[in-house]
Amino acid sequence: MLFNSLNFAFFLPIIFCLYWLINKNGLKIQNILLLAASYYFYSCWDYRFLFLLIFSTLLDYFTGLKMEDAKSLKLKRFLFWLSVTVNLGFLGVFKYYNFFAESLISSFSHFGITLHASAINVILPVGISFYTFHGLSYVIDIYKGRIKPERNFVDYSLFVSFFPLLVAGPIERATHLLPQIKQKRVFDYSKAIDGCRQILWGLFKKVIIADNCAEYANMVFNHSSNYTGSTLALGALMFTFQIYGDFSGYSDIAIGTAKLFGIDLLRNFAFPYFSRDMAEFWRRWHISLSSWFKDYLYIPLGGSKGNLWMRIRNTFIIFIVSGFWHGANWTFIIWGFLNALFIIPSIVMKTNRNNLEIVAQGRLLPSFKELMQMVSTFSLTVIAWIFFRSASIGQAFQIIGDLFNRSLFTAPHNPPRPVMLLILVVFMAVEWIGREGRYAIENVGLRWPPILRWSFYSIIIVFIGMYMQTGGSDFIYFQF
Amino acid sequence: MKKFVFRFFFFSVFCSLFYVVLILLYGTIVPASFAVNFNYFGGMGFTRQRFDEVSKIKNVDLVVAGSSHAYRGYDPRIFKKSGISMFNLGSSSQSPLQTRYVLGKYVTKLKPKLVIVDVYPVLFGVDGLESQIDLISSGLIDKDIIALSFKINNIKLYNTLLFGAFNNEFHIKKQKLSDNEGDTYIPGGYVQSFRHLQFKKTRFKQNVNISATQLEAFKAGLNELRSQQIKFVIIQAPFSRSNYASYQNNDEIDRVFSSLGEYYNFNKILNLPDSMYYDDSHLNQRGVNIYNAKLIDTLSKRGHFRRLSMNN
Repeated sequence: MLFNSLNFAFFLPIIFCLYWLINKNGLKIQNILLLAASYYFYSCWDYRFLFLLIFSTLLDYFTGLKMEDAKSLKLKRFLFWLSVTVNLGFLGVFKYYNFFAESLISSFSHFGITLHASAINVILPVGISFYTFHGLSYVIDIYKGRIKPERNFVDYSLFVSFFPLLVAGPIERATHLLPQIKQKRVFDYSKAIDGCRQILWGLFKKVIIADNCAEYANMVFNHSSNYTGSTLALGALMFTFQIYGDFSGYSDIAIGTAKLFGIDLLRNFAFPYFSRDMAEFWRRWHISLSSWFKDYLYIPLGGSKGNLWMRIRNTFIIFIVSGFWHGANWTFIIWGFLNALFIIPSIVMKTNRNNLEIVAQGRLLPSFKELMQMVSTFSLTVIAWIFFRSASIGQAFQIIGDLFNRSLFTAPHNPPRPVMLLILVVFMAVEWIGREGRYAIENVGLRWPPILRWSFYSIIIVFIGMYMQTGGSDFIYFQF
Repeated sequence: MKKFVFRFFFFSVFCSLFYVVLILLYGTIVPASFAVNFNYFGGMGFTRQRFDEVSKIKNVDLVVAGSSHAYRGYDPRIFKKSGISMFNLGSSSQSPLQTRYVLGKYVTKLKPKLVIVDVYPVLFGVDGLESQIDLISSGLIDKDIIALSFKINNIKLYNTLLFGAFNNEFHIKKQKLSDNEGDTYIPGGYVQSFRHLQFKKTRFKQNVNISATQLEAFKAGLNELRSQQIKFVIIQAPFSRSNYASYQNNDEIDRVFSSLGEYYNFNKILNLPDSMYYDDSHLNQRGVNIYNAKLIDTLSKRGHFRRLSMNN
């Protein structure tokens, strides 16, 4: 069930009404309802993978309890590694088996050795990378003594499977979400309205920005060798906006939906394309994943402590692993490597924490220096996205090779409709104006007369109706 | 909670009204290039004129239904010379879903003795959106069109339907009859063109896909004719050789149509040169003259038109 589907448009109000109607019957019933709804939501993709989700939940739930009760450190450590191995094992089998098998065969073939490995033709269970990371963070936090295990199975299951975040995050932490699940929720009018507003903006980003940009990006990336430099550049630019609209749009819908149930999820995007350097970009892009890797990988590796070479090594590790997390393809690994490469100068010069505040805070326009910084950071991300979107490393290099030649200054082939370019410009302007909020339209029109504010929201809805892609499409991050 | 539900309800009402107002603006003052999921800007096939005309006609010998192959391929003047009165109910990209609709709507009134159901196999693989928009923007809005629009389920259709409903009532916008230069509407639903456009002689090899929904609608339409005891023949009008040859499963398609009733594929019966075509899919007047003569001859030999003449 997609967030931008008619099914979800029926599903959400039904669950919302039931949820608040049974409010008087207590938190327990509400949580059972949310869990049942979450399992139904997940089984709409493929009910068989629901068993995998339940198994993963059971494993981490019981591991947590047994670790707490373990009489020796040895047993605790054994249970911890058992959980980590099984969790990562599932991820490895479903997501990475074919990649490793193919890479091995390819490597041996260079030496004239032919290996035969049967590829497992399985569908990747949607959301497996996300709920596995939920479970892992829970087990690690218990092992490290940061939290106590949750004894209520329903509450723990809901933490793993809460439907707004189940298939594409944000990747939650037990320390943040579990206390909210255990706390009695009271209907908050402002929060519910805020949730609706965030859902609306998320839908706009997904349905108008991402899906329309996808049309052009797909045309270019699917036949990249046919196009000139300017068309390739425009294709890469369109993909840059597509992936932002797609993923941040999804996150907005997820966060907004959770607010309707009185739950706050972690922020996942903070206007990353207005970043002044790559370090800032990574503090603003897919924040829940970046912070997960920081807490559970970067810091255990030594983090920013130690000498310069250690910091550089840790940075490369975290970005390459992050790239690999996205998918079983060398293109993602190179994408991670490139991002590490782009960030290294700021680590060497110790400028990686220079831009912690919002750009041009309190001002309408950025300074010339800030503008140049944003343009150069944005350009680097566009180059990195070429690797992320390409089907192979060969294709990525072909695009980059064809991009930087004289044809870059010719008219692009079959450019997008002018109205779409106009919408894109307006969208970025709204994002810029709203960059001090948690999402762009959070504060738009709050002091306007209601009729004007409602007209603004209605215009967004009309635009969705008028410019949505009728074919529809999945969210990119579902494949991860 | 109550406050939220009330506010949400009132916002929904406000937003619906706002939506309608903006759709009216899109239909009247916003340039067509700015309206992506909306199309009330006029078609290519004189559909409005055709359906205006049919509302004033009763009792014909022959009705033709189908896509532009129908309204560009069957000339009532030629049939009249053989003593056969006819009306052409073709419309742009008419898929079986719409063929069923137009036959259901007009066959009772026209009381034909024979129906030619022209089939262009490619249109058995489409969702029917384009044709549905053509019908709606030609003023055809009734409960069956609305039901069919829900079946096709596309936002572009709903937007056009919304504007069409208002336009039928308040006549906000006058639609163009046809964009095509050199086309002339001939009473009886036919569109005449003497032009010959240059077209590609080589095309990618492809297969025609038949969707279950379209095939089901087609069968249902034929069954409705049977239940009214109206004779029908299924005919594939000729299109350019290069276009026809690009489809690799023509024989399979022929078998499907043959299994549904009396069927003639004129791509196999006639072999017309490219100069007889308006474009790679439609005959021009020179081609129609030859095709219609051959068709009348073929159907006469099978006894169809003899029966019609005797009845007259």
